[in-house]
Amino acid sequence: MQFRYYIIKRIFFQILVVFGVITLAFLVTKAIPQDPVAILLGPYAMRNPNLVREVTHTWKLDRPLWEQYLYYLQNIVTGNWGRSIYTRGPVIEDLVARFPATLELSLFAFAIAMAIAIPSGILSAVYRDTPLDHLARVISIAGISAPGFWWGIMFLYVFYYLLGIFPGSGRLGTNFVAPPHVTGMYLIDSVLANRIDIFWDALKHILLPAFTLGIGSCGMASRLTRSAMLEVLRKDYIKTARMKGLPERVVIIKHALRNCLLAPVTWMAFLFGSMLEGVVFIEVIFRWDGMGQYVVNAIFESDYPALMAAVLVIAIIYSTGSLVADLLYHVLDPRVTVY
Amino acid sequence: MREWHLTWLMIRKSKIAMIAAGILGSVIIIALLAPWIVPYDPTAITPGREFLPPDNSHLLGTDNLGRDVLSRTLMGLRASVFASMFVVALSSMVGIPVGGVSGYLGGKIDTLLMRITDIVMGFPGITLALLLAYAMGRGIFSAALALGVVGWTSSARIIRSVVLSEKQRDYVMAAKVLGKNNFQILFGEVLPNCLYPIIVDVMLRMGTTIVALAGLSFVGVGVQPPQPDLGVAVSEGRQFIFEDPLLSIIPGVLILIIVLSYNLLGDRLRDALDPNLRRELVGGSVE
Amino acid sequence: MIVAIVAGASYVTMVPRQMPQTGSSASTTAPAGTTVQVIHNNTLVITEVGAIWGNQKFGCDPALDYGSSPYNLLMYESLFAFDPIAFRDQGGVYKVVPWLAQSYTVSPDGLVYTINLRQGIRFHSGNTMTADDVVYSLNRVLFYDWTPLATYTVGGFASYSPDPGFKSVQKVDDYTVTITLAGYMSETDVTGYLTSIITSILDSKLVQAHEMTIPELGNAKDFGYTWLNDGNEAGSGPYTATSIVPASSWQVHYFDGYWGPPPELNLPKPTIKNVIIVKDNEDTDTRLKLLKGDIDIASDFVGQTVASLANDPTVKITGGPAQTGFHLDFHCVYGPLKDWRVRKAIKMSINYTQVVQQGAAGQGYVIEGIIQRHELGWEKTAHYFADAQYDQANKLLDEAGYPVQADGFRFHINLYIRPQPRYGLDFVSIGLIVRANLQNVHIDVAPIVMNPSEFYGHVYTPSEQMMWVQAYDDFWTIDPLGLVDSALGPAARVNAEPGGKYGWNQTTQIPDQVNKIDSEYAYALSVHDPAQRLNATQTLDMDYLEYGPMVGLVQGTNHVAYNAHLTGVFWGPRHIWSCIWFIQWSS
Repeated sequence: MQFRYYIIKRIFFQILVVFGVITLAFLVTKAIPQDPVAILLGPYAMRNPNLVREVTHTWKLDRPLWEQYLYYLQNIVTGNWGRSIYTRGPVIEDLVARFPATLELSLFAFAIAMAIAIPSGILSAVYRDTPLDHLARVISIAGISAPGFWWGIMFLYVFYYLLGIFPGSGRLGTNFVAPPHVTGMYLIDSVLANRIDIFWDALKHILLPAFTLGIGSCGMASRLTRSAMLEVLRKDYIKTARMKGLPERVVIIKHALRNCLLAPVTWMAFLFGSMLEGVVFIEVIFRWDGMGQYVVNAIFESDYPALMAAVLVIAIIYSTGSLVADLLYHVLDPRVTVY
Repeated sequence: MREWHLTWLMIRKSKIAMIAAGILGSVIIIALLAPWIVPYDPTAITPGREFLPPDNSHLLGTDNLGRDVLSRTLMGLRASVFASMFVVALSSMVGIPVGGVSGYLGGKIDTLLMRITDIVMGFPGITLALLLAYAMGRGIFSAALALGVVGWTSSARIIRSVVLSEKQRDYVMAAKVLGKNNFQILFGEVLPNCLYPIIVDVMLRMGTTIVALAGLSFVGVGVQPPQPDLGVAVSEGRQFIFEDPLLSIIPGVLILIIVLSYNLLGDRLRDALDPNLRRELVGGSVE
Repeated sequence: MIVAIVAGASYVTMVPRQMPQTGSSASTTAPAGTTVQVIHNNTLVITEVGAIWGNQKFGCDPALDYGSSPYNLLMYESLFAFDPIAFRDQGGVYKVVPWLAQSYTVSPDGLVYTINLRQGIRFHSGNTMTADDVVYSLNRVLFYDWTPLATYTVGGFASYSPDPGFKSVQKVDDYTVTITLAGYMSETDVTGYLTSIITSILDSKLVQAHEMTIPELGNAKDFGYTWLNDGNEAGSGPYTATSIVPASSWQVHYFDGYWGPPPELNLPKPTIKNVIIVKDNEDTDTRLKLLKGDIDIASDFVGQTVASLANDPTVKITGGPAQTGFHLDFHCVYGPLKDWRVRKAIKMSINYTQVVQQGAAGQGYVIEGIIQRHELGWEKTAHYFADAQYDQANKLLDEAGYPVQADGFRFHINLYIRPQPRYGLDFVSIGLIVRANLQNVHIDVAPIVMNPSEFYGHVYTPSEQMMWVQAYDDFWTIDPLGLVDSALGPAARVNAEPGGKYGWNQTTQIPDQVNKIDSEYAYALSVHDPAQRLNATQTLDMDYLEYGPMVGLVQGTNHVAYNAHLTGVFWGPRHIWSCIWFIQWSS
């Protein structure tokens, strides 16, 4: 009962947050000094006063601010997020096309990162202060330290150009066409369409950018796992287990591990979020056709409808993600009360 | 006093921390002195001297417009270092009071402030910074401002949780008995005792800020030409990676070293402040 | 550009004006001992660096494709074309030949063109081409003039360009149409426009079956814009779509039922079976892939890249002067720039050779006037101002009353530069060189990197003293209210427009000069005799250079870099289309 109440409260607050984000975006739209009608119509059509009047009226730009705000909200809800100046298509279509790419990249990167980080963190803690530990610590800190985009440039140059181990940028090789659209994520869609050749190509192409994207979180996750494990190893029940004479391996796997893995959930959401920050740069370097690249393009083309919509989407996903993480954490450990 | 001494001892124990501190110290000194020690004007275009390899007159060679790479690197270092200090200072000046007030006063104010924090945190940092920098016009100042506006949330959260635990301590009770008002207690007593987490947080955020700033410059929203900056250097270097790989390697390695130093130092500092480890060192309880 | 139209009568190598040329033909022959593998036997992978590809969703509507995307060039055809063999063999001559048209006649007053169509041309859909398709396709373009769907219009159709434009298109019978002009235009002008991808002939039956309505325009019909932009094509050309996913991938293959090429031209049929187009608008990345052999043909590298690729044995370079370049424009109404002597002094101070050699890494040409390289009479104004005349410029600035102040500068000015390279030219490098040059005459230039659509807001700011580096086709997206267009367009046309407040013709200091240029322009438009027209054009150009608000900095070069294993590649007026007939893989 208590828990259900908490969920409702939490979701309610999250809606408030999303609302706040949308309002913030609206205010920024109003602050940008360019005339949206002019940007849509272009130089020659602007000289037709009828057209100008028509569009201004349709977009309610001649109405007071609060009416515009309501119109804006209405548009957001109905999915009318404006037209991109650059692609000239509805922004929502552009976003829908690109969102799976970013999602696929981030999930894959995160999976790789955690797959490496957690075991290494545990080993680091178990063999604390040995050379292995020190090495792991330095590597993980180095991973966090250099900018992702720089690693990306270096990796592409070395692993693609010089060594030819990985293919170049992009989601697929030039002679491959994307599999039929089901989720938009090539790894999944290609399997669903029974095109294993596309699957392998997509896999080869995603490895390098995913690795580059995940380095930062990998390092952090490793260190966090390490301290969580250290924390657990200090606990009394571990000492008890040891005193009972159980072999060390059993102690660790049966007792310590289970308890230590609880903590990662808290910071996984945070890590995923902070990893997302780097996705923009990785997409630029690896020419990954996702939302990050879209945002950067929008900036360079001054395509502010696209920019606003993309930022909005990213923000909504981000905060929804944190909501999910919060709830998940609460499910796993009901003792914890969040404010 | 004993606290500081203890902290210093713990840091000194770690060779890595000492090296990191040394590196950071020299970086800051170089950044301060940069305008006076650069051999050439970093924006001076010299025709006919493009892509010179490193030699006596140009220690790191020249770039595609004949500008001296060493000069550009030094000035770029200065730009990155000071801009990130500005960002961290700005975000701390906002984040610490917000977190402190929120944690100390609790109740409705706490909820309100945390909701606002949530909303700002609802925008992923770099994206919001990109948007803001675009709206405010490109330039190092807008980029720094944008990052500052976005970055205060994490320090607010951290300070808030520290203040929450400090709130229960005896000296706070004592101060209340003495009749001090909330403001005096918060800023006079509690926050100074939170200095360590603040310092650690600042250290670590310096690192991420330098990277974020370099990222914004890389994308073209930060420092504008002809001014040099480490992020811009990576971006320019990338274009000429065949002619002169050094152009992109040098700034990247520099960022790596600086951020690494901040992280290692902050890391060791955090260890140094871990009460458990301190207890082990001293062999007793530290209050 | 404006003058290009004026000179059009005698301009042999006429290309549709305002078409940014992005070439994409490339072939290289691999030198011995290289590791580039021939992996695409019947396939060509091509890309354009910095591709703009019109303002569409990178879909298949040719009327909006002012960027001339490679796949549209291969899938669509127009009434006329530039003979590829003539271009290749006669030193770059743009010879207009009928393509979908069979022949044509012109009325004595030059205002009505009667065009006879070829018979037996089949679209990819199977439908036969008739006059209905021509009327529909050309009317589409006229419609787009006025809609928000296009931010670009073909000069000649839009009545706001210097040219009178087309007035109407009508069907006479199943294989004859008439095109009526709104005013006199030269024959090469008219046929030149009809070679453009924008005037491609589409399968009207197919497109009309997929028309939709546009809500923002009160539910007007969209002429198939939405459907075409979603990646559906309605062409007649040698290649047809294999798979087109807008913004993602474009693959075309040779159309087995292709009607052409026109028998009288002796063009071979293409041997390349598949063409894959890659949109990769980044220099370094494209270069990596080209050198690795993942891309076969890449065009529009930045000058610096081209200069260094010239030494690479795995890649070959070809190219020619682009019909576009950069020019430096001045805001003329306020501050020191109000004085024509100040403007002239600035123009005299620039080291044009350095701009080309260093700013464009030698991959360009000095062209200061509006008459572009290889247009008739171009030599006269190409290097009108000699390089770096610092002494004369300093004197002129002193005379104009702008002495050097205490801070060491005469005055301060903002220079707006677009961030990303275009047509192989890097705005930033060029802008920085201009800045360095102007330091020698004590003018402090503050470079500001900004997109044209953003900095045009500054042009409307009275106190702003600014210059900007611009590419020739930036106008269309950046000056929606036409306030500054007048700064760059001929004064004559502008005074009748709403706006025009900040045009250079508003500067009151030289009303005589402004009037003189106005009348020169009007005269140049009206005269039909080629020699007189040339003369008028050159005079106009020189006066414009002396007094006007702009100076050309560099004319770009279309560069195409290609895999050394290819033969038959050359850069031509319709890019990949010009040489696709000849391209082959050698082993």
